[in-house]
Amino acid sequence: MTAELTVERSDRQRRILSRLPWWIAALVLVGIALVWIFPFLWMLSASLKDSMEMFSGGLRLWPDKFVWDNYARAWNDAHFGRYLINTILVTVITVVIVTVRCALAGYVLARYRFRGSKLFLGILVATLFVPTGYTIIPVVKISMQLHLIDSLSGMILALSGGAYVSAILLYYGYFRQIPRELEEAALVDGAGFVRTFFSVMLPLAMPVTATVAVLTFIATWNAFFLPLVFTFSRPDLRTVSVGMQAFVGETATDWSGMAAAGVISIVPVVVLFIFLQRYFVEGISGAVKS
Amino acid sequence: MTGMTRRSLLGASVLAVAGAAVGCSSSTDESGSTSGGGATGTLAWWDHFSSFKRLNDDWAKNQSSALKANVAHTYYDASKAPQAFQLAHQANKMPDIYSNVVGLPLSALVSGKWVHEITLPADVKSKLPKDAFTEGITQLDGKLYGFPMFSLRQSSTLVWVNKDHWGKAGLDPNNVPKDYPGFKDALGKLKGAGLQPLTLAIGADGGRIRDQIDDMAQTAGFPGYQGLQFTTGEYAYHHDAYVTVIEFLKELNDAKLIMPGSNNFGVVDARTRFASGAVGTFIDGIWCAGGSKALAPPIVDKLASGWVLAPTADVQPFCYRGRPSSGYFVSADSKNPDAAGKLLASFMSDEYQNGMIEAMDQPPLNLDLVASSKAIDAYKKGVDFCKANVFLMPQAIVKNPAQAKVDAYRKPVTPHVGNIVQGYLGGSISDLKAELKKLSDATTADRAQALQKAKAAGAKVSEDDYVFTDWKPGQDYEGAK
Amino acid sequence: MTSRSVQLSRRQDRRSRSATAAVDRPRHGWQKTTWIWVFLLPTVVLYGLYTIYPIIASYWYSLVEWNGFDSGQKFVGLSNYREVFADPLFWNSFKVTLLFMLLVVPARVLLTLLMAMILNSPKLPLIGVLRSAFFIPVVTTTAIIGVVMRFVLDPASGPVSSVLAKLGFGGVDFLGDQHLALPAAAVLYIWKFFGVTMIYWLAALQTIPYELYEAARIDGAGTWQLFRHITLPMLKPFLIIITVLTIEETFHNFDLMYTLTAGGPYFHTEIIEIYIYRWAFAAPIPQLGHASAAAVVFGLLVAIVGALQLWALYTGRRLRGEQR
Repeated sequence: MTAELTVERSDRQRRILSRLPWWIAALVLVGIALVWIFPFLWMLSASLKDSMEMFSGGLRLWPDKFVWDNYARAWNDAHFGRYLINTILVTVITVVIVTVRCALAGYVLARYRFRGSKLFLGILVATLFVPTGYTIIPVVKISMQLHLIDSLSGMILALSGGAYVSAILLYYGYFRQIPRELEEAALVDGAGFVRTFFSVMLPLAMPVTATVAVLTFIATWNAFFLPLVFTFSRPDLRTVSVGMQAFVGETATDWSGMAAAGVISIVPVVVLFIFLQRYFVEGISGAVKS
Repeated sequence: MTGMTRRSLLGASVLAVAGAAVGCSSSTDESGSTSGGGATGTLAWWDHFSSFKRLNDDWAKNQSSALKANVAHTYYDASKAPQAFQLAHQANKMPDIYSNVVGLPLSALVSGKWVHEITLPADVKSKLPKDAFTEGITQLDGKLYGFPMFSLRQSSTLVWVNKDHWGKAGLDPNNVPKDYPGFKDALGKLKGAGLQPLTLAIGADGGRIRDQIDDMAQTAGFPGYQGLQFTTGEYAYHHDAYVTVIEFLKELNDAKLIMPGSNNFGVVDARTRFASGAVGTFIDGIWCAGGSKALAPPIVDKLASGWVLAPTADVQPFCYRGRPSSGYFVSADSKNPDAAGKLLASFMSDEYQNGMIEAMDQPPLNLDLVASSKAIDAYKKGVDFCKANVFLMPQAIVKNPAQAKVDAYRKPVTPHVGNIVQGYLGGSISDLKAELKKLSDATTADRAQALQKAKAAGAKVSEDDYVFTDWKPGQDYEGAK
Repeated sequence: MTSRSVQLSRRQDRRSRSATAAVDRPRHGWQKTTWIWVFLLPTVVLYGLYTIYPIIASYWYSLVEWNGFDSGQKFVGLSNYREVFADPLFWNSFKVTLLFMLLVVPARVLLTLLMAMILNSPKLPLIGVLRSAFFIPVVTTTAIIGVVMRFVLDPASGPVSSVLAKLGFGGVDFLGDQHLALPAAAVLYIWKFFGVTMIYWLAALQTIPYELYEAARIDGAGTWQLFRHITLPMLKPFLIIITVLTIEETFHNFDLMYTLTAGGPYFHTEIIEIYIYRWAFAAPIPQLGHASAAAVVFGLLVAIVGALQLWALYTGRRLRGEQR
């Protein structure tokens, strides 16, 4: 009996001992992770400090006294409330447009052979690597001709019109794999072209949709160049990333106001990430797997 | 004139960027939104003068009743303004009046349908100085297109000091050294007292330090402007004066008298450090007082100013500038150019001119109002210095207005003097003189290609337009027009 | 993790069954054709307007002299290209772009592999929290990060300088020093996008069946041997794909560079994108011809890498196919 106990205890001890290196590793990693997210912690702390306290520098994250006024300033005077709404509007609509149009195109290209389908695919692949930044000048020109330059809708169209070939190709690859029987069953049930797509095929493609939506979301939320150019003459249409740049240009001493503006711009996307983490991860890993 | 426009553009943009939107601290109703330009009954007004933001907002209200029109003023951050104006122009949405930030020579503005002739009441016209009406700069074929706003007697390169810092280091802030050795000693004392001695805006695109080197080269004896020698019409950036100035900055840099980070500072970054009391000395334009006040109001009481530095104390710090350039234009799209002209005319009223002086930015055309104004002494001292030491320089475009064509074909030459300073202080450039010679050659070549193109397009221009053998230092150039 | 591998295998099943079924022939004639084009319409319009047309236009602009707002576009043939090629600063930006890539890519690919292997071990506690922490910079706005980092690295009052000052190094000007600016930007870039590559690797690692390790361990293989003989060979195809993906992403760094250094000090961080921006937007008189010519040249460079990417994807897939 004593022998048994000893064995048990040493067993448990060994188990704890064998876990110990892992816990140490985890602790080290937590340390690294804290350094990793330090800029965000610093920004958060800066956003609650007095501007003068910021300039005196130092590492202390805890403010002497909490200055909530920074947020009021960023939200109202620097218009970050409005910029945030602009950004959300632009991002959501762009994500919807991109997802739908890429799903539609990917579907037809994958499931049907028609005159020009090869050429269509060929052009898409050929432009896969066109960097959008360099084509900005004609984009501005054409938006101007369409009278879309000073509007959010123009910005949305431009954002959802560029690139995203990879999204089409993702849908293309996915729809190609779906067995034909499914489609035929739908046809037998009397579903037409459109209904087959929306009630059978699109729901099947949920994982791809998640991937595309998440990738588009990150790209659009972070977009800087296009929104910059589209809002030159309409400051009230700025998105947060452009607004931040303008803030720096206009009120250089207000570091804490800027930090507050940064927090306002970053918090929504971080919160979203925490809730939809799985889709973010799958969205990104989708790029390697397929 | 490219240089001219560039300079005024830079000066303006620099102060606008730096000026830190006064309105940002006020209520939210001054949002950036624009009410539709050009509609009858509405006068849209766009500018990029951040120090005048509040003044202009108030003035718009004031003039709304005087002109019986809804005057809508919108301020644009200077770094965004050129693009904003270009887009608006293409979309035919230009405001009735707008500030000069586009950077095109006047002839291009006229042919590109950017501007409308300005009609001013006679009494206002007589208030403007004679040299404000210059063919090719503000006028074309005798018609006035550009409304001048600022005096030519100003400088980008005065020494500004924080009295507290200088006092702590045992220095007299009311007697700022005017020569290199004295200035360096003073900075050394600041450093000895544990303070950051000096900052300069060397970073960003180097535009500010470029202007300052040009100014200091003049006080160091360079008989020309932006590398161009008045008497020979040749580019000579490799002139000893330029070398002297840049070597002096290098000396300060190597003695660690320049605040770390300055090599990467834009004007706003540098002025922020100065205005918040992080550094004791700053070389900045006459608008430093207004710009710093907008950033951190308490600094105003601590300011003292000096001159443009010269290598030795016995040198007269003479500087040379071109004729006043256009401050505002009336848009070709304007539905109501007469009212737009009246709005511009109102800027010449003593009330508005006083408002400009109190904002302590670029001094207005009427410098006589400065002495009795509420501006701080350091500002008045700066204006006095400029009045006594800044002179009108000869300009090719004045001699031959057809030179505007040449300017339109000029291209930016990089690296320019500002970039070179950045590279030399940072250690990327070791042979300064060779680099400056290269710049002279590249600028000469660029002028040659522009001249050639202009001639091919039918303009009667020649290299002689740049030669002013009768130029004399220390006086306004009034040579034959 | 198990559920995912199941999912994967199911998907592969499906693939093999449907390989021949993928393509349909037109049956209902015009009605179907109409719907096909209706489905393609949004892409045709948006893509045509905002991608195809601009590409063609850029080529045209590169052949003219134009300031962007006058109507006067003057055809000048290849002279813009001649000027671009004759401009030492263009080659400088070319060099900076490639140098940046050399600094970033190996570090990003290898460090993330290391981190992914650590974060892939099932015994590690707090794994979810850690993964999230390393991923968070990815989702935050680059242009804002650039601004915030300028403060963090401020040589006079930033927190990094405070730490260095306590350790006895005073006032290091990371972004203003010609030798440090590019490496500093590279470190920040790696930090910002570390999470993406890490996720790539995690996805790759999860394709390795756990049983392989078990079997090898029973045969007495140590950690290093496991890595050397199982992990590494299995990851080889992914290495190619991930490296090329990373190279591709590295080209798009305008947001961070522009907000961080805007190309300075003395052009030491002027990547090609900033060079183009400088000529197209930041010059007093915009030189769109010159900018477009530079853009076309850069576009070709990116296209070459793109072709390389396709090849890599192909090779990677073939390698993976061989292993099965």
